[in-house]
Amino acid sequence: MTSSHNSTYSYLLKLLSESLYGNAKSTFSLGATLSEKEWQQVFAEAEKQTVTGVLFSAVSRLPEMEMPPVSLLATWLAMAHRDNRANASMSNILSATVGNLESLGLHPVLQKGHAAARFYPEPQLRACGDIDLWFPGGERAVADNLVRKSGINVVSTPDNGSCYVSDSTEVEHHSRLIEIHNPFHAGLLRELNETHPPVKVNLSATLTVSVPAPIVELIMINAHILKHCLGVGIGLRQFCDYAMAWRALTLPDPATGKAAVDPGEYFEICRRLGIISWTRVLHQFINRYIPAPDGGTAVDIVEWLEETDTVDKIFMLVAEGATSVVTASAAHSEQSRPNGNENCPP
Amino acid sequence: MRLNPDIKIHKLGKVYMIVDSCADNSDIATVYTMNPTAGWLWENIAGNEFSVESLVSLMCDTYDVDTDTATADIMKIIEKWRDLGLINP
Repeated sequence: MTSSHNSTYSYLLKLLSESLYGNAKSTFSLGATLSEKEWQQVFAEAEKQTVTGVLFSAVSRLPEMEMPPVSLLATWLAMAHRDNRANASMSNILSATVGNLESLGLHPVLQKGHAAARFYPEPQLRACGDIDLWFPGGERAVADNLVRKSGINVVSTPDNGSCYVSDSTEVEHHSRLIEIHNPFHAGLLRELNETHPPVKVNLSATLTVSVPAPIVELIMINAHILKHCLGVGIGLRQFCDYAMAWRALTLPDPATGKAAVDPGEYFEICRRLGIISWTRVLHQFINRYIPAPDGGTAVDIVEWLEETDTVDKIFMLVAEGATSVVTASAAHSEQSRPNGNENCPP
Repeated sequence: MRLNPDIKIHKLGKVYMIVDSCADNSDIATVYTMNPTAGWLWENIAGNEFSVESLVSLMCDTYDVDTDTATADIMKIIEKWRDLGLINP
C-alpha cells in the first residue's frame, strides 16, 4: 500500500470510528484540514468499502474549516440520502415478504446485513444489499415453491440456497444459518439452533422480524466474514457489522444490567467450531483499525493481546479489494449488489 | 403555504443543503445549497404554515432590515423555492 493510500485510510478510519461510536449530536475534529484531492480519495475509498453513508455522520459534524469542499459535501449528502431511501424501501419489501411467508405458515429468519444494521447508531445510513432469509427444517423448499407460484423466477445457488428478485430487490433463501460447512460441526450447529432459537426484534415501529438468537447471530456474522476473507474478498462494512453487533450484544443493557451474550460462552463455542484463531484475528483487526474509544470491542484474553502480522494482511485485502465497486456521480449513482450473487436472475 | 414536508434541511458547517429525491428513481436526487439567510428561514418555518407577510415579519424582527428590503428578498426566495417545487400551496 502506498503512503498516500495509508494516509487516506488513516482519515477514513478516524471518520469511521467516530461515526460508529461517537455522539451524533456533538462536533468532531479530524485534527487535519484535507485538500480537495485528499477528500476525493477518502470518498472514493469509502464508496469502495460501501461505508459512504455511515461516514457521513462524522463528516457532517466536522468543524467548518475541516469540511470537504461544498461540491463533494453535496455528493456525499446525496449518497447518504440514497442509502436512507434504499433502506426504507428494503424495509417495506422485507415487511411484505416476511409477512406473506409467515401468513402461509413459514418461519423466515432475517440474516446478515439488514438485521445487523439495527446495531448501528444510524441504521438507515448503512448501505443495504439484499435480503437474506434462513428457513428452519425443510421450509426453504416450501418457500421457494410459494414464491414461484406467484410468478417470480427462483433459481438455485451453489450453496444449497436460492434467490430471486422481488420489487427490484434481491432476496436469498438459505438452508444454513451459519456458514460453517465442516460436517464434524453439524451436531454442534444443530444443538446451537435448538438451545438458542430465533427471537423477534423490532427493526422499526412497524416492522418486527425473527432474527437469530444473539449468540448465534454473532457467530453467524463472524463466520460470514471468514467466508468472505477466504473467498470473494471482504470490505470494511462487514467488519463494522461485527464490531457493532459485538458491542451491542456483549455490553450490559443499561435497563437490565445484563448482556445478551456472555463473551466466555461465545469464545468457547468459537473454539468448538474451530474458528477461535480466526476470531482472535477478527478482534485484533477491529481493535487496531476501528477501535471503540471506551474499549467496548476489546477482549481481556491476555494471549490475544499479542498481535500478529495476519491482521495487517487482512487489512491489505480490505484496502485493495473490498466486495463492491460503486460508480457514483453527483446526481446519479449505480450500485452493484454488495453481496452480489451472480446466480440471481436479473 | 408550507414547505414540502419530504425535504429535510442539513446544516453542514456554515452551508445549508437540502435533498430533493426523484420520486421515480431512488438513485437520483438533487442537492440544493442555500445561503445562510435562506437556510435560517427554512429552519424557522419548517413544519408550519407561512405567508410572505409572516416571513417578512420574522426577518424584520431578527435582522436590522427595513420592510421593503425584507419583502423584496423574501419574494425572491419564495419564487425560487416555488420554481424548484420545494413549497406546497
